[in-house]
Amino acid sequence: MADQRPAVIRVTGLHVEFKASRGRRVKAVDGLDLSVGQGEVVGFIGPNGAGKTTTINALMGFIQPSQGELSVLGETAGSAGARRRIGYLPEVAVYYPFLTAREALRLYAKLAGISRNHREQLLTGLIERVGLAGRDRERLSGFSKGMLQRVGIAQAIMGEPELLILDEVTSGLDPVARHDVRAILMEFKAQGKTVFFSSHELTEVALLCDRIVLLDEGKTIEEARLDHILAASKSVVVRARLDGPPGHLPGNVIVRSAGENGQVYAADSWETAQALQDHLKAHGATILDVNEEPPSLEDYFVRKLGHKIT
Amino acid sequence: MERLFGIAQTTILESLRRKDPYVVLILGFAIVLGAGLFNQFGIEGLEKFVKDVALTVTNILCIVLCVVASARQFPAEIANRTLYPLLAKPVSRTTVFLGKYLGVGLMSSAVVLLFWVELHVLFLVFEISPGAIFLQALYLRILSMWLIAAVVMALSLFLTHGANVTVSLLLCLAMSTFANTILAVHSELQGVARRLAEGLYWVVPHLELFDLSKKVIHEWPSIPAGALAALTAYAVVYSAIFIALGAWRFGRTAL
Repeated sequence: MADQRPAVIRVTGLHVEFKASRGRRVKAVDGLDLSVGQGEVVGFIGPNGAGKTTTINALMGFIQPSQGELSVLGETAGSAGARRRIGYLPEVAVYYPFLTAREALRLYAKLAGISRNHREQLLTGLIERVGLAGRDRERLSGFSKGMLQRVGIAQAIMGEPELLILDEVTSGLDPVARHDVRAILMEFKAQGKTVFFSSHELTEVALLCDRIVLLDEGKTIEEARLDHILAASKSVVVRARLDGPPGHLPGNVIVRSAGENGQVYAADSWETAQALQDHLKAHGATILDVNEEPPSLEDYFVRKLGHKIT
Repeated sequence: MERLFGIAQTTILESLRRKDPYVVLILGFAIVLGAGLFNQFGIEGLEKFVKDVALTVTNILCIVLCVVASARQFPAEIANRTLYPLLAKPVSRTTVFLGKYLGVGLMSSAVVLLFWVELHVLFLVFEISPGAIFLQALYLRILSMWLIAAVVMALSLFLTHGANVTVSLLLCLAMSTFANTILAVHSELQGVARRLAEGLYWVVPHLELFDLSKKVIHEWPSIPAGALAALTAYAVVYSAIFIALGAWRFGRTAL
């Protein structure tokens, strides 16, 4: 739950259904409850098809929910009043390719209701802030995905919104672009703004979020503070050198990496780690070391949902 | 209003940067110029042929441009998801619809106007007198562009892109021929067929009323102001119905 802070996003009993072929109806979101407090940075995570983007689309008013109540910043989700105070970045960087970066941002500034007097100055500042200075007169058709995402970030943070809703914000970006996006989000966080973002990049989520909402099959699986989640779980890391395949690993063991210096496995307990060592030795492995380490968000995610991922 | 004009401006920029109007204008100019050269042979009455070719080509190209530009607006935006960042701003879907309509209408009107200037220059060069009705034909052609844009944009939210372009082009280009045919065969029909013909006559846009080409060719006098006013009212009402229908549908479309 969102501490005692006033809720910026409140979703109760959200159901979204889509028409599928032959009159079938597919449940994309199935009774989702969600609350995001003011000033929180909340990561919305889950496997592909969990309903993250559908929930965000419902929050933005792009789709009508079949059932449920949604409010954003105290206003009905999707209303012009709510959208005036939100910065939104879509999952895929989709902007008019025939416009230049400055023209596109000018259009969004007009739509955001930013006055003509401040517009050009604001655009110049935004363009510099997202690292597009000198490229703003070029057409978007020639931009890389990373540069388009920078345009997206610029239009999202335009007008200093109270809430940022970002869908897969760092998806497909190179490390430099990812770092820059992270820096902007951290700036927002430092200003006490609310950020709600979905991501598959769990490293980003762990670096930025106060809290996570884990979603699967359209339902909330867990909604908790990140430090609580990580403190409640444990990872016993086993490093081993193995020439052949490790065979079928015991349950609750995650393969973290496999390189020249050996394989790294994370177990959820010392008992599992012992079983893993016995298993690896039986396959001819040499155990290099065994240590208890802070668990990663990825360990937690795979343990929670890994059995479903095929 | 700035939001509305911002969207309209973007719609016009898209057409210009796709070079659609230029292609249509150059193609039209080439055909009209080719027809105009026949006038140099000095055959009596050939100026009517030149005017006929010039106006027919112009009309067809303007209609094709307007239909294609109107039909692609929403399907392309929905498929490419460019509507997402647009609608994330505090702008209503009705404003987006009207902005796009305004953009397509203005762009199509500008192309018609340029064609008419082109035709006028050509007529002067070949010493053909277009007459006062030429300006009335321009006005009605521009009016028809707004009507076509409204119908096609509304249909684009009900039909697939391909179906919409086909239906709209058939509707626009065939109405000049078949509107009068419906009237002619009406008295011969009976029962369901008669009711269908009547329904069709009232539902389809009467674009043939906006085409003064024959009157320009045969140098008719100007049509009465009352008729122009009635046609303006018809275009406004018909367009308003389709704009309302399109805006209503767009407001309920899941992205």
